[in-house]
This record gives sequence, C-alpha cells and structure tokens, in this order.
Amino acid sequence: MRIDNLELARYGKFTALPIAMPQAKRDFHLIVGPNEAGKSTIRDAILDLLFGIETRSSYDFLHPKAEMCLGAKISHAGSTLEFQRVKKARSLIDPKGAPLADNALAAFLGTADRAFFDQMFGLDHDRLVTGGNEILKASNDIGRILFQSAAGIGSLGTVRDALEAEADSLWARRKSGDRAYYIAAEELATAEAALKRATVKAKDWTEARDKVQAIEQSLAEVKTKFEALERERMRLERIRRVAPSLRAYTDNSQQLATIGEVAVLPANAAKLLGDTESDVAVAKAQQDISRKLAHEARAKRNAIKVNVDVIRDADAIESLAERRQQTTFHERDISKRELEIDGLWKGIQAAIRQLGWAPSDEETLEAKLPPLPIRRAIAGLIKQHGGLERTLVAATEAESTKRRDIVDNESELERNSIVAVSPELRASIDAALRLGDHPTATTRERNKVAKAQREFRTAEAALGEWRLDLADLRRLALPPADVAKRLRSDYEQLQLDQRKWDTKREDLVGEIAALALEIDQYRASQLAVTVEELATARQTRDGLWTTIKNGTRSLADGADDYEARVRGTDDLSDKRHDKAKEAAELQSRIDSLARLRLALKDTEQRLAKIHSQITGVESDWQSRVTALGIPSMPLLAFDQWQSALPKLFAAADAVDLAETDAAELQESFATAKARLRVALGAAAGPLAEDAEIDVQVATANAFVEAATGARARREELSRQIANASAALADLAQKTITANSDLGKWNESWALATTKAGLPNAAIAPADGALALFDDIDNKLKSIREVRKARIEMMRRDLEDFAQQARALAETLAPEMNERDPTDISTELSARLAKAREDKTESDRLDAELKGFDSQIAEAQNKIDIAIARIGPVIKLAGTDDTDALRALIARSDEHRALKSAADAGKSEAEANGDGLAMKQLIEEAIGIDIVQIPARLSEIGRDLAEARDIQAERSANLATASAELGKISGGDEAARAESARQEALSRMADAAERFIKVHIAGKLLRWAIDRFRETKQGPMLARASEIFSGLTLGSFSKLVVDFESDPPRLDGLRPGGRTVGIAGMSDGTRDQLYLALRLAALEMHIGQGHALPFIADDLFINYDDKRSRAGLEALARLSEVTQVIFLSHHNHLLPVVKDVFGGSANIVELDRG
Amino acid sequence: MKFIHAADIHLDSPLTGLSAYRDAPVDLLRTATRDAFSNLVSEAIDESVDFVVIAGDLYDGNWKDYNTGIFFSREMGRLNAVGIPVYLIYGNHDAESDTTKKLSLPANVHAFGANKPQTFRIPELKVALHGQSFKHAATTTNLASGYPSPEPGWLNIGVLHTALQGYAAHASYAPCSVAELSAKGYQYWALGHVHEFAELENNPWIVFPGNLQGRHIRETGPRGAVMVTTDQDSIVSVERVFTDVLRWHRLEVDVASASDVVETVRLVGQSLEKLIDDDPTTKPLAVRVVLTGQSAAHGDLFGDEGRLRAEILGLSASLAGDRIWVEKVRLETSPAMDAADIRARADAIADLQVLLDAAPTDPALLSSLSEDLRHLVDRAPHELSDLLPELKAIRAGELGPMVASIIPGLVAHLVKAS
Repeated sequence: MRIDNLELARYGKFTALPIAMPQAKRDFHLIVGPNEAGKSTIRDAILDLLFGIETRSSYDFLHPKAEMCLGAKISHAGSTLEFQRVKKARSLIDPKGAPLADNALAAFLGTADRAFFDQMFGLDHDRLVTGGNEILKASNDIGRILFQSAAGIGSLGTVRDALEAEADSLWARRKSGDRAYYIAAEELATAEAALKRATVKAKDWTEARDKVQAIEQSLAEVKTKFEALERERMRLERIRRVAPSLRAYTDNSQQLATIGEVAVLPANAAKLLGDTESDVAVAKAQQDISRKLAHEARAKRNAIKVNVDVIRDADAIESLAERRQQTTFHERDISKRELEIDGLWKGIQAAIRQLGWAPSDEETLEAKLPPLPIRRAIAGLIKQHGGLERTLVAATEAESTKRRDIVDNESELERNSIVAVSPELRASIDAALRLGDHPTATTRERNKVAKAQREFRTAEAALGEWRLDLADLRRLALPPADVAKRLRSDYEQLQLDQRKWDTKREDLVGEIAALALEIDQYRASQLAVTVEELATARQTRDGLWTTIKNGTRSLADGADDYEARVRGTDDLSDKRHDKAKEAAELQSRIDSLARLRLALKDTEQRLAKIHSQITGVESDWQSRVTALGIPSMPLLAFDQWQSALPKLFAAADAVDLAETDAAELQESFATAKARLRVALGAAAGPLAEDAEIDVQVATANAFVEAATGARARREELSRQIANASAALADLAQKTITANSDLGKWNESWALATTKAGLPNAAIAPADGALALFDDIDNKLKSIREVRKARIEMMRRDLEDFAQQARALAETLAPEMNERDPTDISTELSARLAKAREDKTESDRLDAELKGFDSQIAEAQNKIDIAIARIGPVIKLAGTDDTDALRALIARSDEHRALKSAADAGKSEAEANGDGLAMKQLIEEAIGIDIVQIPARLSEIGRDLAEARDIQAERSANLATASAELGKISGGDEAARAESARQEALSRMADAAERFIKVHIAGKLLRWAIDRFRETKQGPMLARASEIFSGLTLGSFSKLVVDFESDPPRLDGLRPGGRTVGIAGMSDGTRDQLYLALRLAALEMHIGQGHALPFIADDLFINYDDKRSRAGLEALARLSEVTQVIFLSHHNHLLPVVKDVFGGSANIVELDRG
Repeated sequence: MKFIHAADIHLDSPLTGLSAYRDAPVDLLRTATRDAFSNLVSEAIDESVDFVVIAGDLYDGNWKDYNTGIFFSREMGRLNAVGIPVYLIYGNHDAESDTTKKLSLPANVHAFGANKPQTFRIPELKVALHGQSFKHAATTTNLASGYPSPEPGWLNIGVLHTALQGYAAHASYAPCSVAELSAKGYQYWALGHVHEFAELENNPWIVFPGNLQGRHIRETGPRGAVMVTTDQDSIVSVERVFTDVLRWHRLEVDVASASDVVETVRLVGQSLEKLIDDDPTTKPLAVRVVLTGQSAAHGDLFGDEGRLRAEILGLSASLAGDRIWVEKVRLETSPAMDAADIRARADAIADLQVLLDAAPTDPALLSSLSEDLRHLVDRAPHELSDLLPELKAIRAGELGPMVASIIPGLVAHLVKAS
C-alpha cells in the first residue's frame, strides 16, 4: 500500500495542508522542515489516518476533536481509495461525505493494526539507539538479536527473563524457604503435625472412659468408710452434748411427783383478780355523773313550743313572697304602656289628615284601608311601568336606525362603479416582477462583470511583464511540455551546479586566505626559513659580490653592504638549519596553499564552463521566447507563466459571459417596461414618458389594488343592504309588541286604583298613598300588640297574687284576711322564720339527752365485762371468795414452775439430739460412760483423717482422668488442623500450577528463538551484512557468525580480516548494525507480506554527510519495494537526497509557522 | 406435622481448594460443616419439628477424629432436650467408620440396622419410617427392594442412601430406580448420597436434599436440608432450608473489552459488586473468578497472573471485607488475535508463531520439559494430583496439550510486551 497524497485538512496546527507523494521508481519522500514545523504531527497523522484518530489525541488544540479531519488517496495492487478520516463513530467517509464501511481500508492494510504498523514500519532515532543497546545486552545470543531486530521490539529478553525468574521463585529442585511451593510445603507439614496431635481415635476415648469409671468406683468405697466413721463420731458427740439436758428433765419430773394433785389455774390468775376489782369501781362513778346531766337537759326541751302549721305550709309562704317580688312594679308599667298607645294613635290621625279622610275610630279606620293584595298589585304595576316604556323607546329607535343604514348603503352602492383589470396588465406586471428589482439586478450583474474583470486582471498580472494581446496569446504556439521541462531541468541542474561550485570557490578563497594568514603568522612566530628565502638571500649576496668584482660598485661603497648580506645569509642558513622541522611544516603549509590555489583555479574553470553552459541554455531559450513575442522571459519563470495562461483564458471567458449576461438583463428590462406601459395606458390612461419600470410597476399595482378594493366594497355593501332589509321586519314587530304591552298596563292600572279608592290617580300620588296606607296599618298593629301582650298580662299577674295571699291567710291567719295582699305575705314570711328557729333548738336538746343515756349504758357494760373476765378462774377454783381464791392461785403457780423446768430439759435434749426422740436419746445414753467419750472421739478423728486423704487422692485421680476424657469432648482442633492442611495443599497447587505454566512458557520461548536463529540467520545476515558494510562506509566488510564460540557469536569483519565483537563496536556502529538488521528484516517481510509505507523520523541525527548518504542509499533500495517517507529537520540532507535520488525524490518543505 | 430431612452432613470434612492469604476469613471455613449442622439442629428446635431424618453420611469415611462423633452426639442431645427424635441411616461413608461403631448416642436417636430393613413407628403421629443402613461402604445391592410394604393409613417414609441409577458421577451404591421407589407405595422417600438438591418426583415425593455445606468449587450455590410438612397421611409441601455458612460461587467475567490488567480488574470489580448486590443473603462467599472472552488483555494476564490475583484480592477486600474469599482466579481468556491472525502478520512474531505451532509435537522439546517437570511431580504429595490434574498429565508424559494451551498466551504476552 502507498499513500498517493495526504491532506491534513483540520489536524493539529494545520488547516488544509496538502502533501502530494507522487509515485516514482524509488518511492522516496523527504519531508523537511525546522523543529516545530510539524514533522511529528505528520507521522502521527499517518497513523491516525490509517487506524483512526486516537481517543485522547492531543492534536485537537486548534480544531476540536469533532472537527478533526484527515484526507488521503491511497493505492494498492491497482486499486485506489480516496477517503477522509474524522473523529466520529463512522470515522471513514468518502470525499462527498458519505460514510464508508469500517473495514474499507482492510484490503489496503492487510492484517496490520496500529501497534504493528508503528512497530514494523516506523523507525526513529530513539528506537535506533534503544535497538543498538538491546543488541549489546543480547550480544551473546544471536537468536535474540535477530528476533528483536526483525520484530522491531526489545522486550524478548525481558519477557523471557521475567518468566524464568518467576518460575525460579515458585519451584526449583533445590528446596528453599524463599520459594512459594516450599513455603506452602512447610505449612503443610506443620498442619499435618497439628492434625496428628489433635486426632483422637475411638479406642483412645474408650480407654479414657474406662479409667474414669474405675476411679469413680474406688472413690465410692472410701467415701462409704468415711461416712461410717463420721456417723460414730457424731453419736458420741451427741451423747456428750445432751447429757446436762437429760439430767434437768429427770430431776424436775421427780419434784412434781412429790407435790401431788393441784387445781391448775391460769398463770395470770392473780393479776386478773386485781384488775377486776379496780374496773368495777371506776364504772360505777361514771354512771352517777351522766344521770344528773340528763335530767337538766330534759327540762329545757319541754319548755319549747314549735308552730308546726307554718312549717307545714312553708313552700306556699315562700312562693307567695316570690310572687310579691315579681309584681312590685306592675302598676307603674301599665301607665307607661297606655301613654305609648296614645302616641301611636296621634300618628294615625296625622296620616288620615294627609289622605284627606275624616277623623274616625279604630274599627272604622281599619275597614276603610284598602286590602293588602290591592296595595301590592298597585306597587307591582308602578315597578313594571318604567321597563315597558324603555322597551318601546328602544324598539322605535332601532327600527329608524336600520332604515337610515339601508338608505346610506344604497346611496354608496350607486356611487361606486365597476373597474375592470385586463389580463394583459396582470401578465405585464408579473413579467416585470420576475426580472426583480431593476437597480439591484443591474448592480448584481455589474458586480459580476467587475469581479470577472478583477479576476482577469489578476490572471493577467500572473503573466508578469510578459503580456500580449489576448488573441495573440490564444494563438501562441508554445514549446512542447517535455522540451520546456527538459530545458528547465537542465537549467536548474546547471544552476544547482553553479551554486555548488560557487560555494566551493568561496570556501576555497576563504581557506586560501586563512592558510596564507596562517603561514605568515607561523613564519613570524617560528622564524622558519624556507629554501626559497635562503636561495634568494644567497642570490642577492652573490649578485652584490659580482657588482663589486666587476667594478660596477666600488669595494669601499659595497663592502659594508656585502658584509651585511654575508651575515644575513649566514644567519638565514643557520636559522634554516636550526629550524629545519618548523621549516618543513611551513613548507608543507605553503604546499597546501599551492594546492588550494590550484583547486581554486580548477573550480573557477569549472564555474566558467558551467557559466558558459548556462549562457548557452539562456541564449537558446531567449531565441525561443523572442520568437514567441515574449523576449527576456527567464526559463525558470516560463512554467509559472505558462500555467497562468489557462486561468487567464478562463478569466477572459468569464468576463465575456458576465458582460453578455448584463446586457441581456438590460434588454429584458426594456422589453418589460414597454409592455407594461402599453397595458397600463390602456387601463389607467397614459403615463409620464420618463417613468422608470419600478414606478410603472408600482402604478400598475396601485391600479390593480384599487380595482380589486372597489369590487370588494360593492360586494360588502350589497351584503349589508340584504342583511339590513331582513332585520327591519323584526324590528318593526318589536315596536308593535311594546305598544301593545303598554296598553295592557294602563287597563290594569285603572282597575287597581279604583279598587283602592284612588280612581284615576297618577303614578306618583298613588305611590305616596300606598306609603301612608302601610304606615297606618303598621301603627294599628302596634296598638293592638301593646294592649294585648303587655297591659292585659300584668293585670292578670296582680290578680293571681291577691287570690293566693287571701287563700293562705284563710288557713294560717284568718285575722288578716281582709288586709292588703302584700302585708299578708310579709307577715306570713316572718312567722315562718320564727317557727324554724324553735324547731332547731328542740332538736339539739334531744340529741344531747341521747348522748347521756348512752354513757350510762357504756359504764354498765364495763362492770359486766370485768366480772365476766374473772369468771373462769372462779369456776376452776370452785369458789368466788376472794381470799380463798388468792391461796389457790399461789399453789397453782409453784406447780407450773417445776413442770416448765422439766419440759425445758426435754426440749434442749431433743434440739441437740440430731433429730432423735427423747426416748431414743435416753436409750442411747444408757450404758455409756461419759468420761470415756473424749478418748474414743480422738481415735475416730485419726481414722477420719486417713480416709479423707485417700478420698482426696482418688478425687484428684478422677479429676485427671475426667479431664483426659473431657478433652475428647467434641472439640474442633483436628477439623481446624485439617482445614489448614487443605489450605497449604491449595497453595502448593497454586504454586505448582503457575510454575508449570511459566516454566514451559520460558522454555518454549528459548526453544523457539533458537529455531528462529537457525532458520533466519542465513538470509537475514547476508542482506544485513551488505547494508551494514554500506552504512559503515566499508569500515566493515560483512557480518559473520563465530560458530567456534559457545554460544555462537555475531561479529563484524574488518576489510583486513580482523573481527570485532558487538561489545567492541562503538555506539554509532551498533546503531548502524541495528539499522542494517531492521532494514534487512523489513525487506524480507515485504517480500512475503503486505508492504506498507515505511516512516523514518530523523534517523541520521548524528551522521555526517557521508554516513547520511550511506543511510539514504540503504533506504533508496527499500524505496524500490515500498514507499519511504523520511522526516527530517536537517536541511543539509537536501543536496545529499538529491544526489542519491536524483530528480526522483519528492521533497516537501514545511515552514515553522 | 412437619419434619426435617437432611443427608450427607460430612461433619468435619474440610473445604478444599482455598489457599489462605492475608486477611482471608480463615476462621469462617475451618468449622464450616459443623456450623452448618448446628444451624440444622437450631432450625429443627426453632421450628419445633416432630422429628428429623438423616439419610446417611454423617462423617467422612477416612476421618479418624472421634471428637467429630462426640460433637454429633452433643448436637443430638440438644434435640433430645426438647423431645425431638432423630431417625438415621448410615451410608457408604459412615458404614466402616470407627466413630459409628463406638459412639453411643442419646435416647432420641434411632439408627436403622444394617442387616435387614427396619421400621420405626411413631404411633401418636401415625408415621412409619422404613430404612436400612449400609453394612459396608461398598454396598452395591438394591436395598430398597427389601423395604417392607407401607402401613395402611399411616404416613410411610422410606429412608435410603442410594446413588439411584443414572447418576454417573457417583458409584452405584444401593442402586434402584425412581420407578421402583414410586411403586413402593410410600408417601415420601428421604434419600441421601447425591450432594445436589433434587426433587425427583412429587407423587410420591422422592427427594435428595443435597449436602448441608458446599465444600469445594464443584458444590456451588445454596446448600441445606428440606422441611417437609404433612397433613395426616399426605405430604403438603417440601421446602428447602439453607444451613450453609459459606457459599461457593463461580463468577464468570467476560473481559473481552479489557486491554490490560487494570481494565480487567475494573471489570472483575463490577461483577463482584453485582454479585454482592444481587445476593439477598449476607452469607460469606468463596468465589472462583473465571475470566473469559477474546481479549486484548490476554497477553498481560498471562504474564502477570500474580499481580492480577493480588489486585483482585485487594479489590474484593475493599468491596466486601470478609464477605468474599477469592478461591482462585482462573484465566480462560483467549487472545484478541488468533494464531492465523498472527501468522498473517508475516513478521518475526509470525515466524515465531509458526515455529511454536510445531512445539506441542516436538519430541525433543517435550522430552526435555518432561524431564524438568518430573522432579516436581515425583516429590509432590499424592493429594496434590487431585487438586492439579496437570501433575497426572506430566506423570503420564502427556505434555503436548499443555504446551499447546500455553502458546497463545505466550505469543500474546510477547506481542503485548512489545
């Protein structure tokens, strides 16, 4: 695949930068420009063009990503594709903007992806240096060198080393604590040991359980013995403990038997007797006091007489008193109401006077007032009358307005005549309008003409000073293109040569001047004497001697001079001898100067020859151009001049066309103007002669608009007349209806006023009479209301009060029956208060009497209780004699004391007898000698201690055995250990698995690279040898493999047969070796794969011209099989490129801007 | 009435394939099978079931520690304390276990005899349980055929440890067919031995409850027993009860879109987050991360497995703390460019690919590799072969496929490294 042309339409700093890459036999393109000119941008642009603009592209600083665009035409195997790459989902589009398939480039790129293309077909200075370094690192591994150089990668060694190092960190035959596998194996061993320790077999558990059971049995035996001893010890302790209590029991029991039978009285009998006697005496004194107080109270109560009749009728008396309060102001109120009625009646009399009626009483007046329905009917008619009148007036007005409108519209219709617009007039207007606005169209056409003329002048200016008449130019028989091209090529070459030799001449002149100066300075500083100087001195000396000898000069005159010359010559001779080395050096420089002068002469001769050739070519050219009529046109200007001609012709044609268009437009306007004038004249009368077409069009439009407006107005008037005529009938009917309604009202009015006693009354008087009727009616109603609801009700209340008072007086105080009811009520209320007071005092004395009776009874009760308390003692003693009773009580108390002592002895013995009954305790003590008990207890104590020790020992054994058994209690230590063991196994498996993978991978890589070397080293090294020799300018004749060394080693072979190992090569030479290998591999790849453009970015930074030339020559061969794009910022490469590639190299120069 | 049917408890059987790393939740897995069993017993107590059926394989056959039996007995004691009886048979794993022979169990535990089929009756529930334990591990006779006829009017439950027929992955222990069990006339067959839950029939019900706790990556998903609810003499429902304390999960992550380790780890992170979000429980997960897809990252992943694993471990710790144990990170990716694409480049890499294509059949190379690796294989513990099939292949001298499987990764790694 090759790129025919590339355009950085919107990319980085570039806008519409075209780069043409025409194909030549050597498909080499030098893109040269200073730093910052954009060479790297072009390299990245090619990558982005072919494989898509990168997501994070940094070339969007001028054109945003969405607008970035690259264009190209590419070709491969006879197919071409012109496309653009943009930063969108469908990033490939054709020149018309239609999207292309994503794989549209597949046929051109093969399987290459971005990384592969960049790696295989891209090379820059940094990669060259890195490649050289990698060669050094891999100097003892030819396979690796060949592979890395061929693949364009430097990571093979790193990858292989990493794989081998990882394998070594995982496993190796030698056990090591650093290797993952062995670390895990160690953990496995630890876990297995833990598992072994923690695992308990069923048999272990059975044994442990049997041991516990045996110990438990022997422990039970010793416990039994211990318990028997303990029981004996307790028995003896008990006997000793209860012995005093048993004695107390038996002694007191014997004394009781001595006393004999006794009437047993209660222990408190003596106290009871004393208490009874005291209680009876106190109660009797209390009874006497209470009886005396009761007598006095009874006398007071009998003296009070209560009026019970008044109390019985208390409610009626209180009700009467309340009625008295309510009616106190009734008489005064009745007087006020009667005055109110008088006031109302006076108002009625006044109203009667206004109506003009005669004075009359209430009943007559009521009969004379018109009934309410009549009054309401009159009021309704009054309200209705105004509306009926307004309706009639409105209907009448509407009817007359409508009639006026009809008359007005008919009048306007008559005035408004019909105006016709002819089709010709309309067509004329349309024709004029289609031409557009006359001044604008005219200006537009004039501008077109002016623009075409400007472009013509620009095209004409491109001809420079060599201008001819256009017709002559068109007829001009120009020299054939190939002839002109050849002449130009020759001329350019001659000029290039002339510049080159000029530069050379200038260099030589400079060098000569510098060397001459250097010689002078050397001579001055070293005082060296040349052979010529010495010979000259001798010659001068000898010449002077000859003049003295032949008498031309006298001895006296010439002797001193001669002696000075002899000394001078001798000095020079001595100096020359002393400074022989410096003289040789000086001589060498003088020789060099002579050679330079010779070279300068040669250069000047060459320049003269070139100048002559240039003059020849120029003369030939001048004769040709003079014949053409463009004398003095330089050859180099001809191409540009010639290429300007088609543009000039095209511009001239464009001027013709624009002028024709302008003229045609004016003609069209004139025609349209004449036609419109005729049509408008026929319709609206003649126009002014000088009226412009736009005035004509405006006049015609106004005429057409007026005619159209008049027609529309007539139509509107006719429609309005028809509508108004239809509406008039309705309006007339409304007037009639309104008149009729008013008539009906008048009839109703007459009838209602007559009924109301107001015959033929007008509306206003009738309305006033209605108000007076209502006033009279309301006042009459008020008079009736006061009389009935107020005065009569109060009089009834006063009557009821008097009746009630007399009825009560009849029962309770007949003597007052004839008195004023108010006095009766007041007296009865006083009697009721007195009766109530007497009743309260009587009740209080009754209560007091009841309390005294109760105290007397209570004292009697106490006497009875005291006597009853001593009753049982008397009964037991069989006597109620107080002294006898006291003696019997003393005997009973003695018996009781003895009995208590005996019982206490028994209780104590039983309490300390460990639960044994008295009988058992007595029996247990029989036959026991208390004195012997301590000795026996001592003996038992020793036996017990021994048994306790045995028990403790066996308990300890049991605890140990139980603990052993307890350990086997379902614990999870073994399970945990097994889990840890599985984890260790897993880690071992992980380590082993990864080891197997990386070990095999590492070994595979080593194996494959060996095979690669075996298959590739022959052809690749053969081609690389050739390139390397060229690149090193023959300093190495070829590359050889030293199979004698182990492993085989790659060496460079010097022309003299000496070999130089890679380590012995300089950095630059290693870079060249890498370049040789890369280019050889690339040629081989292109031979069997898909060729893509090779992009070399400033490869020869550190090369001088000779080595650069050698490098370019290597690339020249590559450019015969694929396109080579060489990016450089070294202008000095230009002549070298031209020299190597001749005229076939495409050179693109970029500006910094 | 309701009862729990469990099987294949494999107490104290270890979880395998997990290699510990710093911060890994080690304690969680050390007693996983015990904890799962305790969960089962707690469930039975909490739900007040009427009885529990265990259809064999309480312990691993080769497990020697008697503590396991005692632990079992203690757990049975918890059921005894609340009056829940247990009916169990011994399976191929228990049959020859010392623990089985020596351990005395609480009174509520009723083990079916091994000499002939036996029936336990629960009169108050009118339930008859028929079963027979394995006498030997290799019991390959049909035990079910000898089971008695059903008790009319009672709920008949057959308890059987069997590989059935057609479960090719299992040895043919106590073989019988589903049809045969169906025809027996029981209402419920409580089976054991197969570790995956399976409801083979529902009239009558024939159920494998699966094992209580997954123990390796081949036993993924939730594990436990079944809760069976009955209505007089018929089964109303069979519902799974999950007892596992750690769940195994195989997480496949398609990394086709990744171009390097970082992007791969990012994709794994997204999958892990989704896994955590989608899991309604909070149970810890042992996750095998399997990377798949034709990916430009294949070369990087091949060359940098260690870094990949470390980054995924770190990621999982940051996302889920103790909740996720990354069991393994397995590469099943393939390179973005296949061998044909590589060969079409016609460059040095392509030459290398062509040379490597011949490697799996190159006798000298294979022999040399075999010699290198034999030292590893010869000294490796026997159990390692179970975890790492490659060791068996090396032992058998079958290195060709292994070599062939490594080549694409190697080439991709080389291309990527350039």
